[in-house]
Amino acid sequence: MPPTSTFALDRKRFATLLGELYERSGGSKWGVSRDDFAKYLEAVTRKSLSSGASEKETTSFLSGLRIEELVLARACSAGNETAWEVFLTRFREPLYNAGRAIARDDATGRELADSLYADLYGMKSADGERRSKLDYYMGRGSLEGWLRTVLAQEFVNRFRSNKRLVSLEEQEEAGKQFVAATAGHGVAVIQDAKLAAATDEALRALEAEEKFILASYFLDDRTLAEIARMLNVHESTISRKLERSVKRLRSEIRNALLKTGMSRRQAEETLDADVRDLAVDVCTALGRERNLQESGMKSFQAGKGED
Amino acid sequence: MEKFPDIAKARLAAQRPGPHPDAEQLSAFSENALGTGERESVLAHLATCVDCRDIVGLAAAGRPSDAAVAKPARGGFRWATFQWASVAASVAIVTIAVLVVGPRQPKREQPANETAQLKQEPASPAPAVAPSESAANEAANRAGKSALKAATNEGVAPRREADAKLDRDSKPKAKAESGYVADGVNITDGGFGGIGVYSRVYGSKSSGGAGNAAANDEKKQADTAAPAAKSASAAQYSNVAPSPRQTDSLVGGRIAGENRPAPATVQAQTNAAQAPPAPVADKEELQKRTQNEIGKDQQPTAASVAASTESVELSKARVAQKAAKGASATSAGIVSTRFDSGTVLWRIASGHIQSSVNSGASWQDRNPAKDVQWTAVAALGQQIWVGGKSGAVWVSRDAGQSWAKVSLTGDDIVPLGDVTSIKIANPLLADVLLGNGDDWQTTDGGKSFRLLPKKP
Repeated sequence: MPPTSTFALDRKRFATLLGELYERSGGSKWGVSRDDFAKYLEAVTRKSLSSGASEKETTSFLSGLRIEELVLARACSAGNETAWEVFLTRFREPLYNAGRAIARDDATGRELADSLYADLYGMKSADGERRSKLDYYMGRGSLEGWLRTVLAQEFVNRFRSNKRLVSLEEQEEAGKQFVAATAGHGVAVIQDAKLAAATDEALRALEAEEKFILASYFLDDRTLAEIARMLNVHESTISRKLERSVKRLRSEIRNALLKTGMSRRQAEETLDADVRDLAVDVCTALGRERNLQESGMKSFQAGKGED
Repeated sequence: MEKFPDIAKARLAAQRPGPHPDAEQLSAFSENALGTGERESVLAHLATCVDCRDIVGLAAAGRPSDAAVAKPARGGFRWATFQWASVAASVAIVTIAVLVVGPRQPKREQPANETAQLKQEPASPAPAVAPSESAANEAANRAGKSALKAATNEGVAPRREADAKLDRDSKPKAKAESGYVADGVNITDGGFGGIGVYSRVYGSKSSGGAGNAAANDEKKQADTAAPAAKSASAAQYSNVAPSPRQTDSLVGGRIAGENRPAPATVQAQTNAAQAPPAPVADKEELQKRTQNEIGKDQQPTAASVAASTESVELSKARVAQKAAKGASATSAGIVSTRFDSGTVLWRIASGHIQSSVNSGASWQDRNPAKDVQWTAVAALGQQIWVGGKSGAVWVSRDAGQSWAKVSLTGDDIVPLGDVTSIKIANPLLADVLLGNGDDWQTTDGGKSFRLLPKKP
């Protein structure tokens, strides 16, 4: 979802700033020239800034970049040995740690981290050019954070691909054949157009953060602490926002249902229990019940007759 | 939390995500490095994309706990901040209102008055105050006039002058009776057993059961005094045996009362200080005398007499309270407790045990043994307990006619600390407290003692 822009960094206009940033980056250590440095920044701004970005916005954006790490990444991508030494010294251990934390297993985590190095160094593509993954780092966040995200992406991709290749025996061992039908948690088939429309409207009215919290909590079953860590806020903030979001959502749906002509009680019942989601055949169940009663009565009468 | 509707869960899960943000954006999002607009768009995507939520979640799990992350950027006005601003503004307004409109009372006045009173008190029982009486009366008259000025809003400085004058006038007497001042300070220190006459004469507060009873009797009689004096007396006597907290509140009340212009009070205080009551033999005589004094003064000053007595009492109580707190810190030789046994008063003066049968007009040495530096005395009825250096304890069961040595440990081999105070609960139960914190208790009237375990 990167912004597609045609922003062009005016080197003359930002010459002073570019000079300062170059000094700060320590690019000369890795043999990065001022021209190369300006090219890096042009690429970054082209990718991240919209075409109508003002001078102030551009200055603010460029000043907020992790210039030193950006230049290090580019130097590594260019194959600078010294830069690679520095990179490995600084990030090898954090990468292993992140791998272990993501995979929740030492061996898998180490393997995951090791597998990343090939991508970071870059494999030759079809056209014969070597393309390093570090070229995608734009310096907006920390290089370590970016590496963690790339690791997480890699892990999710592997998990997905492995998931497709799970053998039937493994599934049986995992008890997959006994999995119950997903009535409550899964996507239920909603027949009631009114309720669906009201819910969609209520969800649209929520803020993006509220929806993110709701989805993380109710769909992904994440804990409050995990969500808080994702958003870098306190757990109690998430708890408060979650409660408020649920309350607001219910209120919005209820109001929408009331507008469709439902009574308040009907709206509440519709919200709290949707019997159509239950996989229970009421008629059959009631019929079986009646049959049992009848047969019991008959056997009782028969027994009585014997007596 | 209210139930999250299943329909909402289903519809939320059914939403289709748009194009995925790249790792750069997700990592910047995790570190709060995105601008407000871009952050919102990433959040909107995350709300609908389980894969990206997984990536962000895993990356967050892999982040070291001590990694510094900027706070999320906030857009727009925050009402929460404004709420605090309104509270702060309210507090500021109230503070300004109190400072500008609030009462301006001369608070500095109080300590000077109290000092004057404290220094006058010890001189009162001494018969040798006559030479300075006229000067003091003059000072009192001036003080009265000054206080009248205070009533017409000119008050603080003249009154301070008067207090200072009183202070100066009473200095020689205080000096002459400097040992007495120290004794007076410690009057309530060991207030456990007998109490009363002495403390009532000089209006000091003491604690103890007997003292309470005496004070209650006195309260009844005080109620029959001049109506003007009644309210002040009631305030005085209703708190005869206050807890330290009660004493504080009394003193506080006194300060508040003293801030009001009261010319007659100042004069009466001076009269009370400079014309001390003659020694009396017993309680009835004392009460009569007090009432006579009130009656002897002019009617307008009757309330003032009571007020002045109250002020002396309160000052003493305050000082006594301080002394009680710091008694253990003072040297053992100064620590003294005085109780009456019937009409006999006891005290420690310069390491000697002294008694007085004429309410303190004259004192006789009553040391049970020579070469002992006495540090504590307690009395209950006919039983007099005295303690001194190195754990020396003697007891008299006939009001001091004869004495018997008491050994805390059963022999004189074990060195003991100095006796700091003696507490008699009843004729059989008594505690002897030593300077090292030991508490020796007897439950058989002194025949044997046991060392109580120290409280943690």
